[in-house]
This record gives sequence, C-alpha cells and structure tokens, in this order.
Amino acid sequence: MQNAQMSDQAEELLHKLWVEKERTGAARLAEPEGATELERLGLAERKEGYVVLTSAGEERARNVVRRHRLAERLIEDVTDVHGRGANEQSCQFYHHVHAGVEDVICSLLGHPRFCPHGEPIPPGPCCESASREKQAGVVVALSETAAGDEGEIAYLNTTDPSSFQKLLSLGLMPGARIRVLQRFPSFVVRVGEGQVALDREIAAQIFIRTAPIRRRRRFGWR
Amino acid sequence: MLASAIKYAPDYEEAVERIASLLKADYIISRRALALLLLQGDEEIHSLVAAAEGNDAAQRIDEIVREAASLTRRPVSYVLGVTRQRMARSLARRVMWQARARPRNFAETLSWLLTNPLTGIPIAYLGLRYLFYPFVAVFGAGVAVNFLEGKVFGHYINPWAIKLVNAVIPFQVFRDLLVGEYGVITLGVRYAVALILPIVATFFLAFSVLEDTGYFPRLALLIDRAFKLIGLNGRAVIPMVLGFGCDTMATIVTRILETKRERLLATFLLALAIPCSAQLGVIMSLLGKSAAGFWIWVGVVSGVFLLVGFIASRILPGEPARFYMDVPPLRLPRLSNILKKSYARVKWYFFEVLPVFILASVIIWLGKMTRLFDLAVLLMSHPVQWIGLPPQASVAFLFGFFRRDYGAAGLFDLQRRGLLTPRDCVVAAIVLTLFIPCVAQFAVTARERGWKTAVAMTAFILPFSFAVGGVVSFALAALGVKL
Repeated sequence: MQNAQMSDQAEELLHKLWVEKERTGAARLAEPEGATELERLGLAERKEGYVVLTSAGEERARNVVRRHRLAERLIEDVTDVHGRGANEQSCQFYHHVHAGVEDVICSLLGHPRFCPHGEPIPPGPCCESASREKQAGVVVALSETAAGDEGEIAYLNTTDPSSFQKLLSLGLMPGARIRVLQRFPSFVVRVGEGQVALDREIAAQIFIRTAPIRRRRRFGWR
Repeated sequence: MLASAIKYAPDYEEAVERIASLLKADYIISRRALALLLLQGDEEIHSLVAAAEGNDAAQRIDEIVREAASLTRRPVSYVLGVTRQRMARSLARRVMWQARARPRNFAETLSWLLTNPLTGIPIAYLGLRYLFYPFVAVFGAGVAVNFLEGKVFGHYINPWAIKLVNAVIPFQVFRDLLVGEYGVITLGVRYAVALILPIVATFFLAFSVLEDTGYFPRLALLIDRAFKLIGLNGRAVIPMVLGFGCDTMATIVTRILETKRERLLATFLLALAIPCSAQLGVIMSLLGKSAAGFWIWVGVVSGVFLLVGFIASRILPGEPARFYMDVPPLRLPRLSNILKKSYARVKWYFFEVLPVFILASVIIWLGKMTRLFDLAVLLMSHPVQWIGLPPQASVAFLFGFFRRDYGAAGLFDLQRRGLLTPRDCVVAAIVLTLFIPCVAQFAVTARERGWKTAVAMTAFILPFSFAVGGVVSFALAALGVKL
C-alpha cells in the first residue's frame, strides 16, 4: 500500500468507486471529479470512457471505506451521537485517521461488521486475529456473549421489518439493558423485568455494548 | 399533544413534511400520523391514501418513501422506533428509578431449575412420568372411566335404553342400530362419553394446570434445538403435547405457529406419529405384558417421528422459523383459569368431536348392513397378512380410521382371544399408531390445511404405516426377538 498522501477529494472518489462496486460489481464511474490525482498515483485508469480502479486502487479504496465506516461506528456507539450531525462528523473525521489507527479503533469497537446505516465494514487484519477476549465497553453480538454478561443493546442488525417488530414486542430495543442468563440449549436473557428465550440466529442479530466484565462461565447462571 | 413532541432525525422529518403536504383529502387522523405510517410501510394506510388522493399523488408519495428508505439499510420502522424508544426512556427516567439489588425468590430458583438443561430435562421427564401421566391414567382412565362405564352406563343408561328401544321400535334392524352390539347408544355413545371423554377431559385439565403455571415456554426453550432438526421450533411444543391428548384439537392449535411451512410440518407429524390419549390407554394395555414390547413401540414411533420429520423438513421449501418467546414468571395456577380453559376445551370436544364419532358408529352400522364393510375388511386383510398379522386384525384397522379407540380395542380383543402373538401385538400397535388419522382429525386437517393436502398426507401415511409394520415384523422375526 502506498503511503502517498492524497487530497480529501481523492479519497472521496476512492470511496465513491468502492460504493459503486458494492452496488453494481464494477468499480467505475463516468467523468468523476478528482480522477487525475488518482491516475497520477496509479490507483485508477481510464478505460472506455470510464474511470476504473486498478488493483492497487481497489485495495486503497477498501481501506478508505473501512476507515469511514469505522469512524461512523465510533461516533455513534461511543459518543452516542446520531443522525445528520454524526454523518457530517464522521465524513470529515475519517480523512484524519492515519493508516493503522483504524485497526485500533476496530479492536476498541469489538470488530463491528456493520456501519450505523447497515453497510458492511470491510474487515482488516485485526479482525481475523481477534481473540475471544473482549474488553469492556465493546460492542459485540449477543451470540458471542457468555452467561453472566450484561450490557445495553446498541443496535439490531435486521433488514426485515417484521423481525424488528417481533424483537420490539419482546422489549429488545436499542438502549434496553440486557443480561445473559444462559446460552444453552437456547439463549435466555433478562430484559427489563422479564425474560426472553431466543435461538442463536436471532441472538446474532442483536448487538450489545458490554458493561465491565465479571467472571464468565459458558453454562452458568448469574 | 405529546405526539408532536417527538422529533425524528431531520431527513425523516423532511420526508414527513413532504408527504403531509401531498395529503389533500379529509382524514380522521392527523396528516403527520398518516405520513409516518406511510414511511413505515403500512399497507392498509397506503391503500386508503391511494384511494383518497389518486394515483398521481400516490406515486409521488411512494417516491418520497423510497428515498427515505434508501438512507440506511435498516427498515425505516426500525429507525423511527429507536427514536421513539429513546424518547420514552428519557421520559421514564424522570419519574422512575429502580432498586439495584434483587434477592432471588423461590419462583426464580425454580425457573432456573426448569430451564437449565441439566436439571430441566430430568425434571420434565420425572414430572411427566410420575405426575402428569398417573393423573390422566389412574384418575381419568381408571376411576372416572370405571364409574361412568360401569355404573352410569352399565347399571342405568344401557339397560334403560335397551328396554325403551325394544318396547318402542318394532324392527330388529333399527333395534340393533341403537342398542345392539355396535349400537349407537350402547356402544357409540357409551364409548364416547364414558371412555373417551373422561380421559380427554382429565388430560385437558392437567394440560391447563401446566399451561397456567407458565411452564410451557421453558419446555419450549429446552427442546428448541431438537425441534429444529424436524423443521419446527420450540413453539411447536404446545400443539405436540396437546396431540397426546387429542390430535384433532392439536391440529387446530397449530395455528399458533408462525409460518405456513411449520404448520404443515406439525400437522403432518401429528397425523403420522402422535398417539392421542384415546388410543394410548388401550395400546398400553395391549403392550402391558412385556416391557420390551413397549419400548420397541416407543422406539419405532419416535424414530419414525424424527426421521420423517427430518426428511420432510429437508424437502419442503421455505425458511426455517426463528425461535423467540417471552418467558413469563412462574406462578401458582389459578383455579378459575384452569376451570375456564378446561371447560372451553371439553365443551369444544363434546360438541365438535363426539358427534363425529357417533356418526362414525352409524356409518359402521350402515356398512355392516350393506356388506360394504365386509368388502372393505376383505380388501384390508391382504396388506394385513403381508405384514404377518392374522386377517381378523383388518377389522381393527378399518375401525381405527373411524375411531382410534375402536381399533385399539379390537386389537386388545384379538389378543385376549389368543389370536395375536406378543410380537404381533407390537407390530399391530405400531401400525395403528402410525395409521391414518381418525375421521375427526382428517376433517379438521382438511379444513385447516386444505383438502388436497389432507388427502396427500393420508395417501402417504396409509401404505407407509403398513410398510413400517412390515419391516418391524420382519426384523423381529429375523432377529429372533423373544417378547
């Protein structure tokens, strides 16, 4: 990966090209701005009237998108700011995250897989070597917690409106305090004053921000 | 006017305003509310608005909704819901606080014992074996049946009916219909009211007690994983357990399952492998003599249940259903609840199922009269003999379609007369359990799942039950199993 500095505009173009690839499968756009800088750096080239990412460019773009979406996650989860203000913050913020720092942020957030808008965050080397030990304050899927863990629901990763309605009717909403009572044979959690039983697939859609850890047991009761 | 105090994210507020400005007609609810509902994809409101505003406006509204939906990958109802939730929580926080410490009370300890697999499964088994079953078998099948059959019918109703009919009706044929060997009153009504009803009623009573304590969600979460193998999830535990009381009622209760696929699978398994209390009692007596025979029956029927369920869930297209269930706190059952629930179920049974059984008795009588019955018996006797049973058993199976208990009783009778070897008893019991559903269950299956489905199930189950019987018969003989 080149260490060449590039303008914010160039990084934004890399971002746009990556998103275009997510959408259509091909990382190319017609007549975008800032293309000359990318061409100069060898990250993009002109082909048949389009500006297309080179393989070096794709790698770089992936990193840009990763930084951007991690920045979005950071601002939303840790500072709890949402909406347009958060978007604008993260849009400016990510340009200043230096290479390598995003891995620290990724670890801090517990290697999240989705940005607040539900877009996938390209994983980095830290995600693959992530161990099961997680720090407090980290956002983790309910299916990855142990009996005795507690925390607050950060977000629900669901694209189906009826799933969301069902979880809502059980009291499983962002902001709700939750405590894992058991994992096997089904997940049982305490939410508010009641208990809810879930299977692993649904637990994998619920992401919680863990409170300081206690001793953890796989089949225990707390 | 709290509603207007909820401010959503600016992008969505903008969308709401744009939609609201397109709503020109008169509505009962506020434009803002309508706009919010449209954003969240409410179909009913969409039709209402499209009809009131016209296609042009509806299309523009759809465009705005699409734009808003593309802002994130999450559904709009989720995003708006989160905002509302946050607002609700901040409101509540101003007036509510919670004590930190929560001492564990007995109900919670018991709840943990029931949901923890190491203690929960043994408790479930023991409870079933030593509480549930004895109550139904001893009190229902024993005491209540003896009283109703022996005293009420034996000493009072039957003799009285016989006297009355003999005095009033001149034709022997009709006398037979009403009070003969298979008479509607002497056998049909007697069996229905004195034999089946008390057993089923006690089952419903015990079931209602269990239901009222809040135990079933806990049982559901214990067996969810096992049920996933057969394409169902923990929720299906309720109709399945109910099926051991009355399969017909259980088939109706499959309505609580979420997806069509689950309902179909559950109905099929109920029709195939779940024995109702009516036949269970007699089958127990049939196999009572040998413990080995009993366990072979249990093993084969459960094996079929799991295997067929597994294969069927692989064949049927569709998404597996997710399991999520509210687990209410355990509590002492309330007598009024139990009585109400049991009464409703028994009443349903009395008025919906029993008449069908009595009608079945009439049909059998007609069949005998016109010799159609004998023809059917003859046809049935061939497969019966192929699997190693005596031809007389075919009567029992034919009866078994109309009234399972008749079928089981018929087999019991053959055993008493020495026509069935112990091995035959096991094979016959297996075939009868797996046999096509009784006429009442068939009718309900047709109503709930459609006629084509019901017929297709029956067409599969009929040869399949005999095939399994044949395999077991052959295996028992080949392995030289002594029973």
